[in-house]
Amino acid sequence: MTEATSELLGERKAASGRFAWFLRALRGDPMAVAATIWLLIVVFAILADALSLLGENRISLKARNLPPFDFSQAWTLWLGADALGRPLLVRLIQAASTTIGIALVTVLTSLVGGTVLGVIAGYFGGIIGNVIMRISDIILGFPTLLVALFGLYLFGPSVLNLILVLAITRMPAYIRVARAETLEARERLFVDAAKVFGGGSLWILRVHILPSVAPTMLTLASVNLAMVMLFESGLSYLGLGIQPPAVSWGLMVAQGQGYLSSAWWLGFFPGLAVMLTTMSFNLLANWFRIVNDPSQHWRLVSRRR
Amino acid sequence: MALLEIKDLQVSFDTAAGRILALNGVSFSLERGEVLALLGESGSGKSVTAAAIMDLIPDPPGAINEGTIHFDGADILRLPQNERRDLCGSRIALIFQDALAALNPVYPVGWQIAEMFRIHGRTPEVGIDKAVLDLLTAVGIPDPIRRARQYPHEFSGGMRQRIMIAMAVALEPDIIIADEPTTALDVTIQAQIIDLLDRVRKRSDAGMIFITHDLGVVAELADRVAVMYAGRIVETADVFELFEDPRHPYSNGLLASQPRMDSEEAELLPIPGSAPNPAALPSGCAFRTRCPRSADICAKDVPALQSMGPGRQVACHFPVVSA
Amino acid sequence: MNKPLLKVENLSRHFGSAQAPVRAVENVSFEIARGETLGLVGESGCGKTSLVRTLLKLGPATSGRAFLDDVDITTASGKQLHALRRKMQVVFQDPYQSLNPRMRVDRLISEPWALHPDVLPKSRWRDETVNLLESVGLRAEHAERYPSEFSGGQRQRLGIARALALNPTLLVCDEPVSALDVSVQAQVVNLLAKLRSERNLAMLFVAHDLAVVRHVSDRVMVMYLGKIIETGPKDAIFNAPAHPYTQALLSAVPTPDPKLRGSRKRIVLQGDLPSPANPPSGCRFRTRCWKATSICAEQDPRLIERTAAPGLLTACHHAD
Repeated sequence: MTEATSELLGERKAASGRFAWFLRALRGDPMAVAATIWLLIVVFAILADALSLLGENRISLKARNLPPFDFSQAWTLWLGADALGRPLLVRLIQAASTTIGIALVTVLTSLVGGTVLGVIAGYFGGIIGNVIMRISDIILGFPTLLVALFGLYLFGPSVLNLILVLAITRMPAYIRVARAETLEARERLFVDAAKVFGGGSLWILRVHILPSVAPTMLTLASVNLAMVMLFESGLSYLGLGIQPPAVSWGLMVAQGQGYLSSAWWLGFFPGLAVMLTTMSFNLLANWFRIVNDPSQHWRLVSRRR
Repeated sequence: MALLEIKDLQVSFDTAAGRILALNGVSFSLERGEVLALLGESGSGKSVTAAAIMDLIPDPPGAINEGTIHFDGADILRLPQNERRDLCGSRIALIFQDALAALNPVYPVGWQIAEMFRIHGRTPEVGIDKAVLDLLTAVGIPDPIRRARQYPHEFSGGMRQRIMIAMAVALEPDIIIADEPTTALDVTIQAQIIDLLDRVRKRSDAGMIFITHDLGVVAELADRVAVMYAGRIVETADVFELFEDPRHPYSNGLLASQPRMDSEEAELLPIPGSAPNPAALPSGCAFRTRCPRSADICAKDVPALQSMGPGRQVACHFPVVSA
Repeated sequence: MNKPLLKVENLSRHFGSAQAPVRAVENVSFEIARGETLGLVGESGCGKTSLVRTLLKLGPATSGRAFLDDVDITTASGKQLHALRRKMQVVFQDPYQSLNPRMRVDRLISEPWALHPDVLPKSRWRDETVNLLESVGLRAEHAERYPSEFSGGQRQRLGIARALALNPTLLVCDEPVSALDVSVQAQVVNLLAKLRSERNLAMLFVAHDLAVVRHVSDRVMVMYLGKIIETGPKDAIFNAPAHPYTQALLSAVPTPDPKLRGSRKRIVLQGDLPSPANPPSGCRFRTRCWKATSICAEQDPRLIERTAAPGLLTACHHAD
């Protein structure tokens, strides 16, 4: 144990509760701070939109394909306007809630479902485990986009169906990773120790296995967030995802594609938004994993130097 | 001139916890035909010493900051890279603790022994096969023609260590460094390997550095012992003198804390505490926090390795003097 | 005559298919009295780990029985097994693996109480944790640290503290010091000896370090390829072993005394341990034994006491 780490751990004990400890640990990682700031901006934007603090999403022929950074215009037009003259900034903010909402709910669904199924398959194995794994193999066997297309065509494009289809097609990845991690954690000596103390399956799963599996699953989820946003945009592009006049970043990229040479900002800014958001989630997931693993705390210390 | 002469060797590693000195002012020498045991616990620097001689210190994060290693008159730390490489393996050989990790799993063992000859290119190609079979026979592997074609995983731990030894002695080195070669083995197999090492070494009159934490093994085959603690040598002595009359409180404590098979003691006398964190060594003498004899001066001055009789050096302000 | 605390009868543990089983433990019988320490020695692959895991009910027994205080471990389940767990605890070999790195020491130590709520009310967990930490030579403030902040020896002390939380009558020590630095081993050995006499613990002490076994045990049992080949009071085993394997094993241990170099007769065994999937016929040691004759290949020697050495049970046709 190094002096520096004990000092940090000492700070943690002094800090009033877990939240304060998180804040302190965050201070040591500038990248995580930047990611947090970006996500906070997005959250505030979504809140502002929900409280109707923004101007109307009005069509204005005067502002058709208005280029960005014209600061003589109203602030809503600072990022330019689209082919119908709608201010891009307002559209971006409105799209944020749809995009992030769909991505979060989708990832959360496949994360929870996949982890539960994967841990069950890994810990108990046997017939249940085999059934779970075979079904996930079958889903994995088809190209994701094809399954999604077929599903959405069959059940009709709606936000709920979109989420379900994306969640189910992404789930096998979670199941596989959760199962592999569980198989490894199950063999750890501390699991044997818990059994000798009389710990039953539920206890071992809850106290020992899940906390060991969770960090990897969260990392996977954060990577998947980006993928889901992209899938959503792809499906929206094909007309099976978000239906206009509703808007998502993916749909905006798709719509902006036609104007790439004449009005690059139409596709660029929503694309940038997707990139910044997914990157922020990845960075924060990594940071979160380190904060939650006592043996990794030294990373926070060394970064601070 | 000694066969191997190490002077004031300092090796550091940069870690997340800061720079640690894995070796600090290590000096010793090895004569032809002599067995020197480097005795110490994990983190004492004994394996780093071997790595420094064999040019196996990963750089970065490790670095040899000062010191010299003279082999056969030349400072090998200042040799050109290709000459240094050629030296290691042919004239100085290393036997690892974990033979399974040290052997390549995708090649037959015979091929890997032959590779030793090919790399150093001094044996004509036509003689290699025979040399390999001779070596396998010499290290006691039955049915060498068949076994040479087998892969490392098809051998038991003891047999794999025999193969490592065959590779090490293939080019008849002047120095064999054995880094805990029997630690992973059971005692009955350990006895076989120690016998074998002793035999192959005597055959070529090579010098041997035997790295271990096992006092029993040291007593069994060493001529001289260098006791290491926290990156420094704290005592060097003839093996008989060390066991009879240990002078450094650490050597003394190690001997007293060992249960014996051939006698019965009411209670063991352990050394209190545990080995210090190399990133935060105590000031002065690193052993002082666990030492029954420590006084104020121990926190201020690092005791130098001083001569106490022929072949005897001790680094302590208050060495143990037996009645 | 007192009833033994642990009574093992013809216990076997096989792995793999029924047609070609790996016989890791074969027909093992022994007893441990209250407060007694039984040392179990043998080399890797001899079945000592499988035996321990079967006794701890971390794996099923293939056949045979094992009674702890008249309750059969091999068939116990549910509430009965849960009650058994309280009486029998274990100190594992690797203190780095046996403590969950994500749990703080106070949670680690109180895990047994969380699983056995009737042992100790929650209000007393904190006090009792401090008591336990102090009894194994740690301090109260260590309760708020994580395992990664401790050295190997300290972690093993934590492992011992945890094992004692339920106040067991039998402590199984599975190579408790072999992962520790030499200078620290003696501390842990002494600690175990102290706790044993304070709490009248019975111990099954498994180790490959024969000197440590001699130091802590009352009786010693030697295993080879899944069978007990010799057992008896430790002085008989260490001073006058009758089984050739025990003799070879003892003679192979290097003695930390250079003056004895060359003066002791060392028996260097030939070859390696045969595979437990396909053990030699008759006596399992015969392929490496210098005394083996034709009878050794035909008959498996029984573990018997000979008149020459009372108390010492040896399974050999040619015992000295």
